[in-house]
Amino acid sequence: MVAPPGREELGPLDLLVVQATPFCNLDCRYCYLPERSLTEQMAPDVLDALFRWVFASSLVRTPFTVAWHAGEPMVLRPEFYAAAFEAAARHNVEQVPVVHSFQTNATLIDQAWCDFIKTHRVHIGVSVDGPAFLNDRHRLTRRGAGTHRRVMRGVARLQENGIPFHVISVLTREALDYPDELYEFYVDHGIEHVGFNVEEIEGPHRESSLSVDDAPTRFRRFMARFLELARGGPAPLWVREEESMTRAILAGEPDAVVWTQENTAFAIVSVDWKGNISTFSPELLGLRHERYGDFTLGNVRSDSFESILGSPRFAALRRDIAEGVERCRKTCPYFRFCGGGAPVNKLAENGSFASTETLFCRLTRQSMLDVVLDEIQPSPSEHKWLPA
Amino acid sequence: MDNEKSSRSRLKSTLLTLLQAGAGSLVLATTALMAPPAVTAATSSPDSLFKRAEGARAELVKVLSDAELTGEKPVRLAFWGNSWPNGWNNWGNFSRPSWPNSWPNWPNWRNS
Repeated sequence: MVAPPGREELGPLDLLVVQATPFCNLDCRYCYLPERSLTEQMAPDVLDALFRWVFASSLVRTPFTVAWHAGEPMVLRPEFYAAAFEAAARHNVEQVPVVHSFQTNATLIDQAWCDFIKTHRVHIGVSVDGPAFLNDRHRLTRRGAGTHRRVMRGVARLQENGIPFHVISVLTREALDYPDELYEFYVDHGIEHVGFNVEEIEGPHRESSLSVDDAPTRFRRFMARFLELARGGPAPLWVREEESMTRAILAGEPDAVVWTQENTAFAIVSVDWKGNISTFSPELLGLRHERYGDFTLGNVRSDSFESILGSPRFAALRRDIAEGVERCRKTCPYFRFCGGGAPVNKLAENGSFASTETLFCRLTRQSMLDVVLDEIQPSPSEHKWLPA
Repeated sequence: MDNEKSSRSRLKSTLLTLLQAGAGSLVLATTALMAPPAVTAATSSPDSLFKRAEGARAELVKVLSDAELTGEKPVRLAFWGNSWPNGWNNWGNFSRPSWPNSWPNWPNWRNS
């Protein structure tokens, strides 16, 4: 078993991903959720069992975040979450700080939601891919119509209510041609915190528009230009990837002990609407693979944390993911700034957890590090992104 | 068209900086310009990557206070979903050090 030296192998719990419902009112072209048409929701007894399980495990040792995700959280009404937050508080006898978080498409935000968010100080992230001409290529209703107008109506409601939020935008191949337009969109709408996801190959989404040879070059050109605008602009604009990579540069001494959530067993715990539990990459929950079957390790109603630790499936996952991290450590110069990639991307792209480089890491780790290094220390190598 | 103009402006600005730094730098820049764009990772060898990172770290350390440099150890390098580096939270629910969000758009280390 390979584990980062000096670090506990299990947890602590950092992120609890809860699928209150698998349903999403949208049908984005790049979505990885296989059951997004199911209108089921987590039952009250499962909610109660979930938080009982979490706080009875030995995983809660530090503050953590509950991300209500893997379906659009706001298709359920605030009353559902009021009961859920109450269940969480009831079982949290040691009063460990817990933050509840929604990543939402914002199309369903109304005043009742705003009141709830303010009362419970819910951490809000809005998914929007920039201006309408980019957003409406991929983020569609179930009838295939664009969603931008509805999303921005929700954003306006948040702002009218003084609710802080961040934005996550998915970068597709075409979006990489529009750093100026994306920047102007965020500034024009008073958006100050932006995270960029890349269009990934995951689950049922088997192809990415970024699976092309020139994607890293285009990605670097995009990020360099975007950060240049953000640095020089009149309004504050923080970019998650820049912050993350700066942190990695500061930490990346040769002997630094590094870790990632997705490669550490039970740093992330994912629970679906039926109470099924998984760990490592949250996207694994609900997927199937010929080698592993599914990635469910147990259920909050019937399986204790200790019994899951003894399961052969968990042992296989843990072994193969650790082997993949070790291969990254031995073969990739970026390891000390990355920590070994993301298991779900390795499985989707390489067919095995025990593997190394993926499109995801070429873009978000390798290329991003190169861009941030050039931001901090401009060097002649910067010119390779300019037209020859 | 605007992008092209912007690239040209940037190129001009950077070349001016390099000229001020010395002829050797200019030769390097010209060579890089003539080479085809890199397809894979831009930094070609581990040694050059580590050297660049060391230089960048030194620049960061210059502009950060001790308090800002104190971070968690072991260091978490990647963040899933809507988790943000440094435990940043919209509502400030967790106490967090000021780094790195206290930097307004990184003005600190460029000489211009």
